[in-house]
Amino acid sequence: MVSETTKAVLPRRPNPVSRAGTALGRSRPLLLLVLIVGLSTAMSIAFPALFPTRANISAVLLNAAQAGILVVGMTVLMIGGAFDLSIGGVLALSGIAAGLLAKDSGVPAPIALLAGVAVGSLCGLANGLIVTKLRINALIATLATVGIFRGITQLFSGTGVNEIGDSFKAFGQADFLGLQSPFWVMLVVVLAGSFAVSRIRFFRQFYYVGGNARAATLSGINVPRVMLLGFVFMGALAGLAGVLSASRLNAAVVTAGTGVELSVITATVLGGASLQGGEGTVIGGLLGVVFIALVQNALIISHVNVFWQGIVVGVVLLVAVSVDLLAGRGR
Amino acid sequence: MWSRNGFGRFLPLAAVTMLAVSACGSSTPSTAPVGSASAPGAGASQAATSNEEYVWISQNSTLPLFVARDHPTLMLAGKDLGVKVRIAGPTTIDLAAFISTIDQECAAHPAGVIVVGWDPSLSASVDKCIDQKVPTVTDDADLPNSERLSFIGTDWYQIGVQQGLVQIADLKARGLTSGKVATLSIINADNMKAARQGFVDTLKGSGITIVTDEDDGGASDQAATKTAALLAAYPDLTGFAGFDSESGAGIVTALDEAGKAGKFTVTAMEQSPEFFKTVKEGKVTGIVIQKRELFTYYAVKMLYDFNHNSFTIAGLDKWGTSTIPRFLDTGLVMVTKDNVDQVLAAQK
Repeated sequence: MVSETTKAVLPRRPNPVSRAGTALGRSRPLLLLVLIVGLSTAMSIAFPALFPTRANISAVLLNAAQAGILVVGMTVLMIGGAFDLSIGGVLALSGIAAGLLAKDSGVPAPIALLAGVAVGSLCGLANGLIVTKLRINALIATLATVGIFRGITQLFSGTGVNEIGDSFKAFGQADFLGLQSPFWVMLVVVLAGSFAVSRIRFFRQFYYVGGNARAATLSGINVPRVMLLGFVFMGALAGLAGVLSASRLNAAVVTAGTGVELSVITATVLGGASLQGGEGTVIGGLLGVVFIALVQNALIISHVNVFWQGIVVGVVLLVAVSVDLLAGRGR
Repeated sequence: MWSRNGFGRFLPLAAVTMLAVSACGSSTPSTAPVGSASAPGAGASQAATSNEEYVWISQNSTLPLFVARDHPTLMLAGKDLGVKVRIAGPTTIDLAAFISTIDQECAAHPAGVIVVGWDPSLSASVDKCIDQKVPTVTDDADLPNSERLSFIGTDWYQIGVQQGLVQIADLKARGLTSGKVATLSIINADNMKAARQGFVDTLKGSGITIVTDEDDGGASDQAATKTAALLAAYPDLTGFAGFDSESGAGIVTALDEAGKAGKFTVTAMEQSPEFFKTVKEGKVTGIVIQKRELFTYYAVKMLYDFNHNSFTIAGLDKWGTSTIPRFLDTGLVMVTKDNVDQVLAAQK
C-alpha cells in the first residue's frame, strides 16, 4: 500500500490530452499542421460544395506560392539573426528587369528570366555587403535599400511593362496536374531549402551564427561570409518570385511586392522562427504561409465582411502564436 | 548578436540613413519637378512669372496610371502656362506621410497646391493651406467638406452608375433576369466608396445583387487572389466590378487562370493602354476612362486662373468669393465593344 506522503512525491503521469498539448506546444510546425488540417476539415464540412474544390485549392496554393518562395530565404536569414525588409523592392525590380529585357531588348524569355533572378541576387549582394562590411544593422540597411530598389524600378520603368510576350508568360502560366507553375517552383524551392537547412553544413552554420555569433566566430565560422551569402540567397529567391509573378501576369508591375516583407516575416515567425535568431525551419515557414493563405480564403468562402477580415486574421495569428507559449508555461 | 553590436556602434550612421530614407524612401514624400518653361501663359489675362510654382500632391504618387497620364499632363500644363509644376507625396499608400507633405508644402507658400483627395482626413490639412492663403484645389477625388477652392475631376458616384448600367445591359443581353456581382476596390478610399454607392443605387431593382465588396489594396496580384477565392465562394456569380486601376487586370488574370474569361460581366477602370484589348477579346465588358488629362490640366489651369484672373465677383475679396468654379465635372468615357476599336486605334 502506498502512503499518502509517497503518493504526493510520485511524478504524475500526464494524461493523453495533456501529452498531446505538450507535443503541440513544443513544435510550432506540428501545431500549424494540426491547425491547417482542422481548418480544412471544418471548412469542408461547413462548405462541402465550395471549399474542397480543385479550383479553390489550386487558387489557395497559387496564392501561397510567392510567399512560399520568399519564406525559404527569410527563414535562413532569421535563423542567422537577421531579416530583409527590401524583398518587395527586389521582387519588383527583378520582374521589371526581366520584362524589359524580354519585351524591349528582344532577349529570349529563359535568359530574361534568369537575368531577373541575377538582378535579385545582386540586390541581395548589395544588402549583404552593407550589413557585413559596413556593419549596419540589417533592419536599417534593408529599410534604406528598399527605397533605392523601388526608386531604380520606377526610374527604369515608371509605368511597368505590360503584354510582355507569349514565350515569357508561358513560364508563369504553365499548368501541371491542375496547378500552375509558381506552385511547383515553390515546392522545389521549399524541399531544396528544407534539405539544405537540415543537412548541408553551410546552411547549418546559420543556426550557430544566430544562436551565438561570437561563439560561432570562435569555432571557426566566417560569420560575415555566411551572412553575406544568406542575403544573396534571399535576393535570388526574391528575384525568382519577381520574375514568376511577372510571367504569371504577363506584366511587370512597379508596385509588385508592396507589403510582402511583413507578411513573409509574419509567416516565418508563425512557423517557429525567432526574431532573436538561432531557431526556425523552412517547413515551419511554409506551413505559416499556407495557414495564413487558408485563413484568408476561409474568410471569403464564409462570406465574412471585408472589414472583419483583418480583425479575424489578426486574432487567429495571435491565438496560433500564443498556444505554444501557454503550453510552455503549463509545462 | 553581431548585428545588434553593429547597430550600437554605428548608431549615428543608422540615424543618418534613417533621415535619408525619410527624405527619399518609399513610404515618405517624393518630390520631383515635372514642368518648367518660360512660355507666356496660354489664354491667361496676366503673364505668369517663371518662378511661380504649383505642387501636385498624392499618396501612391508613382502609381503607373499617374505616371502614364497625370505626370505628363502636369508637365504640359506647366509648359503651356509658363509656370513650374512639381510632384510630391509618398510613393506608397501612406496617409500620415501624405498629410505631412501637404502641411510642409503649404508652409513653403507655393503659388498653388493640387491635392488628390483620397481620404476625408486630408480636409484639415487642405483647410490649413487655405488659412495660409495658399490656393488649393482637389483633383481626381474630392474633399467636399474641406475649404478647397475647387474640385476638378470625375464624379466617382457616376463611375459606379455607369458600371452598374453596363452590368444591367450585359445581363439582359445574355438573356438573364437576375445576377450576382462582387466588387473589388481600395475599400476605404473615399472616392471608391462613392463609386460603390453609385453602383449600389443603380443596381436597385435590376435583379442584380452585390454579394460582397472586397479589398484588393490597389494591387493586381491581390485582385487576382481575391477573384480566385470569390469564384469558389460564389459559384453563381455573374459579374465583377473593379473600381481601382489595378482591379480589372487582376480580375482578368484570375478568370484566365480559371479558364472562365468571357463568361462573366466584368466592368473596370482604365489601367494600361494594353488593357483595352481585353474588351476586344470579350474578357471585359466595359472600361471607364476618366479623362485624366482633362482634369489634371484644368487643375493647374484653375489655380493659375485664381492667381491671375483680373476680375472679382461684385468687388468682393476672391478668398471669400472665389473667382473659379467650385466644382468642375470632367465626365467620363465608357469603353465597350461598340467603341473599343476607336480607342485601340488612338493608342497606336
